Amino acid sequence: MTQKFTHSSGYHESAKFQTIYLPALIGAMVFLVIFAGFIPGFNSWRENSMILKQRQEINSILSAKVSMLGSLDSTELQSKLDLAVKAIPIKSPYRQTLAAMSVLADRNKISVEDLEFNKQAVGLGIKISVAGIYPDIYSFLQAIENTLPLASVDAISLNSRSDASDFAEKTYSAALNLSFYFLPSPKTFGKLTEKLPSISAVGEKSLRELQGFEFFDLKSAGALTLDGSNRALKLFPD
Amino acid sequence: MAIKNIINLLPESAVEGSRRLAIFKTLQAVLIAVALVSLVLTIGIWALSLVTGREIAAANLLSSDFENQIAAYSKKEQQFYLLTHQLDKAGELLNSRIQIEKKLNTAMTAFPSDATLLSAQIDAEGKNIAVKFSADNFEKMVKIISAAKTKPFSLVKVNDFARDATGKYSIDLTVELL
Repeated sequence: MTQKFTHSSGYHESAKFQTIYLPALIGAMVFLVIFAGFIPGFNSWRENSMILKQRQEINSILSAKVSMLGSLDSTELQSKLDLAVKAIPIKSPYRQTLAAMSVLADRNKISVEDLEFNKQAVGLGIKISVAGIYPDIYSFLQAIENTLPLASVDAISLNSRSDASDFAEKTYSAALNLSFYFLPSPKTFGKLTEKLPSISAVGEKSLRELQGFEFFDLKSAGALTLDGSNRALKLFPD
Repeated sequence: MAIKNIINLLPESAVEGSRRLAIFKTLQAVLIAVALVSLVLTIGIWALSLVTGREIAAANLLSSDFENQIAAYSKKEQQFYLLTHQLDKAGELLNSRIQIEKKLNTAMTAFPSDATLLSAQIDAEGKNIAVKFSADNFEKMVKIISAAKTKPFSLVKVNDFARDATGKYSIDLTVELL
């Protein structure tokens, strides 16, 4: 009779638990930890990191903006702004233009014979008909180009009026087509989180250049010899 | 050889069972290690997420502090925006302005002084200038034409050439400023 070795049922259950159930249980736990714990945690961390990075970038812009605004001298800023607004006014500069034309015509001994206003896409168009000797007309033109608000002479039509042989005495009539520019104030001044624009080298150069330009307001012009206010007001009501 | 010949007294099924048990024990150990590592990583990532969340809260506080400071500078900010806005346009205009009076002066001074300029039409854009002269003799007229052909001019065309009853000549030219 051969002896048969048998295991008890408790031993079988324990072995089965060790070999099948326990690894399965641990596997399930690993699965659960990875999919229900690690992945959502990783996603949350990634999302938070992105938010933090964006916030840090915004903060660096805001910080630069604060330090730049803090370093700006209010008086200097105001005087630069005044000059820039004289050069490119925020509304139609017809009053200043009339004042400038009036003063410059008197100063250069030019007689103004006619004045026409027209609305342009970029600003205010003026056709001014003047008469005088050529050197005075030339000085008048030069003065206009060095006057604020910024103007440009688009066309000149010159016609002889006298038969004088001396160049300096010969009178001419001249029709000058001029453009004076204006630019309305921007409706919005940029987002709070937007970088502050910087004044470029060209802008600084323009500022220096504009300081040498003349500006005539109605007070400094005194009594105007030119009157086109009513006509201009129709085109550019206040 | 000697080891191979050791008599195995255990039945074949028991040997197979204990081998399987060893494999499962190893697997179990690996799984436990993986589970522990996963658990540690999960706790770590959540802790990191929590720390990042706190950093966001701190950054938000800093932002609102900066925003308050910027709000206090709002007048300066608006002035600065307006300044750059107007200056950009001014710079653009100053660079693009064509000094038309220089063209006029060239037209007025580069032709012979004894010729009588009747009219001149000048546009800021383009290089052409239309000029009309009169002269009391043909010799002066020739001088005008040769001046129109030499620097700083280049003759584009003669629009009109006439002689009136009194013997006066007139010429209408278009010249290009070189």
